[in-house]
Amino acid sequence: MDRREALKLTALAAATTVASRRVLAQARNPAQNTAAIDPSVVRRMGTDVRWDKAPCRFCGTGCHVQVGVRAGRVVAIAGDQLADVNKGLLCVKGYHVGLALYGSDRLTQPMLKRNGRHEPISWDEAIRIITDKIAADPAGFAMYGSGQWTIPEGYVANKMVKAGLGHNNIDPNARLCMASAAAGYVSTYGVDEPASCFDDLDHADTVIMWGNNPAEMHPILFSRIVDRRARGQTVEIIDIGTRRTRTTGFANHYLEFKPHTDMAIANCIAQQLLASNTHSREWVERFVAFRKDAAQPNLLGEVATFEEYRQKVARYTPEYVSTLSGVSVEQLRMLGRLFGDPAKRITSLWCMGPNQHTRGTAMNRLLHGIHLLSGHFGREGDGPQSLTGQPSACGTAREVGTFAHALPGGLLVANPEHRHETEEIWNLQPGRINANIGLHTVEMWKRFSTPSSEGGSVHTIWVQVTNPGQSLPNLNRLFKPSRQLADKFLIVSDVYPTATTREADLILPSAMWVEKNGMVGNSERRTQQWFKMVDPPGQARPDAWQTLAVARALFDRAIPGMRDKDGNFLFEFKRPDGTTVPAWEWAHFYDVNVDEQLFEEYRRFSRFKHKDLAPYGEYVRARGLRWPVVRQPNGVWKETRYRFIEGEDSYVARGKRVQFYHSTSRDDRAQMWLHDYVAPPESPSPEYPFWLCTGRVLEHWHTGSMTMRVPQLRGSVPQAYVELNARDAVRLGIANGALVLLESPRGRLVIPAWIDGRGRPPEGSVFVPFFDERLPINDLTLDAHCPISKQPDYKKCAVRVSLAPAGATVTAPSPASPAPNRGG
Amino acid sequence: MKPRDSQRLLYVLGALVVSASVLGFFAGVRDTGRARVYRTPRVRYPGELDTAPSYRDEREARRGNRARHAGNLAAMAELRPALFDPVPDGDVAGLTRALAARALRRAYAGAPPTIPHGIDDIAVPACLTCHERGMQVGQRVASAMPHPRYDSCTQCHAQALPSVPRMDLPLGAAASAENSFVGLEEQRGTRAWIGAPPTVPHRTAMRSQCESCHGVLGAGIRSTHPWRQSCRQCHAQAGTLDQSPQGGVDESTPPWATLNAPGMHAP
Repeated sequence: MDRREALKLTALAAATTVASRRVLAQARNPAQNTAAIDPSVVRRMGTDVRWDKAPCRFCGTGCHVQVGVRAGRVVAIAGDQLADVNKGLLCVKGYHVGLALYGSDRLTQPMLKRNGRHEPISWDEAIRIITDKIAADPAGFAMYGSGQWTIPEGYVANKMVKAGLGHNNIDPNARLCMASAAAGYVSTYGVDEPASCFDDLDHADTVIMWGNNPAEMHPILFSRIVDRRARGQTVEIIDIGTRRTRTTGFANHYLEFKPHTDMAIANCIAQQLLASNTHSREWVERFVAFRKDAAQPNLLGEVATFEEYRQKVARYTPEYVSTLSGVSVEQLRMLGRLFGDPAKRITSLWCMGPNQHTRGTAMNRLLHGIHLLSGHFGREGDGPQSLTGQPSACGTAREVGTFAHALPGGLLVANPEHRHETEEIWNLQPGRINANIGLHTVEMWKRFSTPSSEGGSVHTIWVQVTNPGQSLPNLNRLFKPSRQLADKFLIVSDVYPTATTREADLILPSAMWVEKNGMVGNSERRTQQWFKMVDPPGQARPDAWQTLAVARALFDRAIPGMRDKDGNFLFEFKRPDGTTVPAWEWAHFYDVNVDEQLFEEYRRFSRFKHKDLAPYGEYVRARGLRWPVVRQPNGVWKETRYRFIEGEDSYVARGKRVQFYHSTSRDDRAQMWLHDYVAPPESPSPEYPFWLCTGRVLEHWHTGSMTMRVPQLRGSVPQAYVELNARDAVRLGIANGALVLLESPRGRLVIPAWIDGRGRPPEGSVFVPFFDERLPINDLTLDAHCPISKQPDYKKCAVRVSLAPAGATVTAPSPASPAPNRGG
Repeated sequence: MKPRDSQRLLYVLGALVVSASVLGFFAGVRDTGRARVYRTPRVRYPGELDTAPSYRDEREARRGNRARHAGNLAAMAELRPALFDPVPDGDVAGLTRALAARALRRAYAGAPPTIPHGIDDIAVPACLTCHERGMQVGQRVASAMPHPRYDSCTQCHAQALPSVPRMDLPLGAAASAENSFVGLEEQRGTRAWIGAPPTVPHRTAMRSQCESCHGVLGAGIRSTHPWRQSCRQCHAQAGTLDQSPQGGVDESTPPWATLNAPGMHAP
């Protein structure tokens, strides 16, 4: 035995001795064995780490992670190998999602602003204050939620407002993120959400990114595409964008267009299909109808004809669109040829580019239109698909219907039958659901920031799971004025101090992610479930409990809406023996699975629009299921990958091949819309000569309230910056890292420049990420929005760029002189 | 076995350990000729880790004392210990250092390590030039990927050094940078008896290419027999280590929950 062996054996023997002593100690004293959990539900690595599944907290991809918990704390994360979405892989945010719970400045107790300072108060007092505000004037109370609400949280809030308060002033931040996509689906197929699913990414021959940078924003989906190349497959990527990004690096073709002209490019594809007679005659004859906008644009529009469509798109020749968009004629012809080839499988992906667009609904319709016209629809790898940015933008905002115009299950406030059905399920007096659509996000905050005497009818907003003080557009108009008005009361439930909590009158500390039970729904109709794994810090409590507690306090004060028509409280929770559990009392919140009982009630809504959800228990077992989940004769709950397609979707009648069974023309056809290119509301001018685009980066998620507290992510991208074209920088005398003054008609910001950085905008345009609360770019953005979806355009407005004067600091950005807003 | 008997056994075992330690200590101090000089890793700001040279540094240094690298990656790649070179074994201090160095770049055992050098922030990363086979340049090792090939490296690996121009900005109130997360430490393998091959103490998903860490470049955690290719022939998965996320919870895995392509990402 040489010295190496000796040392090695020594180390081993020492380790073994220590390990065996521990085992013996535990055997002698079972009370010390802290891991005494039912072995059938515990998976272990090492001796004391318990693993369980959860969907990732961040984006709308819906990856499943395995969460490792030891001694009441999350200690590790692993990709879930059983998950269809991510197949064991995660992105840099997902691998570090567990750290998001442990930022040192978690909010741990309710706080009330008194004399300009936040002072701790009790939960009882906080609930009483909220109840006072609502009871005094229920009509002036609004709720502003989020696509990060879990499904049960959104359901409780939705029911409390729409059934309990008798108005519809509740809207999620998803209005800012995918309202245009939702409007596009509803007006095309008669029902919301993608017909296809992520499986497309494994099968497409060509993937087109429409103003989309999934290499950073949806990394797992992007790797599902590019990793096929590593396995020897061929997949073509076409990046149609307004700046070079990491996605561009992987693309076979990069088509750089002038902002907003994507509408013309879509029409150009249709023009070429018709001119070369390469459109799908079968689809035009059997599966589509035509629509155009009415004088007052809405979801239904007016009937149009194929001939009108043909005439409308005829002018969008590659030559004309090339001058409009800046994309070369040859590249436009390439797109035309591609869609004209029936053998190719083409997947169109888009996210905020077409959605955050003042013609967002129109742009979404046009994208569906070119796929329908060419018949590139309904096969694996062949179809249009929008992505979402929040874990439950689909599950909660769209499906639970937390929008001001919506009811659960895809039902609409404006539809009398839908209101009736809702009243039936909720056991309400007929007519209880208000027929008037509530305030959409921009309108809600505008009214909150307008003095009550001048029509500012909203006096109190309760914000949950979102950060409008940083993420609303045009903050100087929509957010900040309210903070100067004495009678406007802002309530914020959150987990960390944010730009919003700092301005709040009342702060409520929330439990996050695996500190509570939850369910969410991702971008491909996949409903997911997880269980609470660790305790929230201090007095932090789940948002669902917070809302329930307020609803119960209103019930106790005899606010009539909090009773159903039999006089019972709107929210009843039962033990297995049928007795009622007062889950609104914190001590009893976990006596039953509140999530399960709320979900089982909500699930009844899912039948109306064929968005069938399975029983809660099915989701406990699965890594998410894509609706409609239909029970088969053999008792198995079967999910649906492709809707409207025979053999895939249980609701398509035999022999139909393709059936759009919620068609608004009531003939099983999808609607193809006619839309002309429309100029944007604000374009660069001599005074403001640059385009400003805003967005995200890979490492940070939305306003950074979680990711800026994760050292690995913050260390990687510690601050925001403005991306600038190198030629512009030279012309303006701006060096890398120099402070730059950005000014729009609405606000100004001093921010460091990054030239030839991660994204490379063309000359005449700049890009700023919005994650850094210290550098709030939304002081400059535009609140003009799509006339149908009401979604604002964060992707383009006009700014002036100059080297910041010596001595300029980045702190305390101040509003420019109040300027009229040019948009609607 | 009664507790008292096991206690006695432990004392005997303990005595053996002590004597073996003494023996090993003197055996160890006698031959230090091949010992490497390590810089002791210390905990610093994530951006201030012990950093490898960036591409730019490499380019700029070509005429300096790094000229010998001359950008000839193929030649550099050959500068590595030969497969049959004697490997220092039983280097407990080296192992400790290696684990500490790993921990510095990872949030927890199994987390993707951060990138300790500058990168081109937009182009398709050329990471594989060095990290496909692994490379040693002087004292620095660019480890080979321990997982199947993926192209979008920055998807999982964050840069420890930001590319964003760094400025000391007087930025006011904002998110705290403090985080109290404590990550899982690397587990140790066990042996059935002294001399038995140790078990694999970590998940092998995304860590399936053993030679990436345990091959000839794996300072501190390298194998004594890097020429052997079929590692799991002898090294079993630790019995307490659950490899598969499905283990335990649901024996009747529903048909829709099966992987589309088993083993695609985790051979």
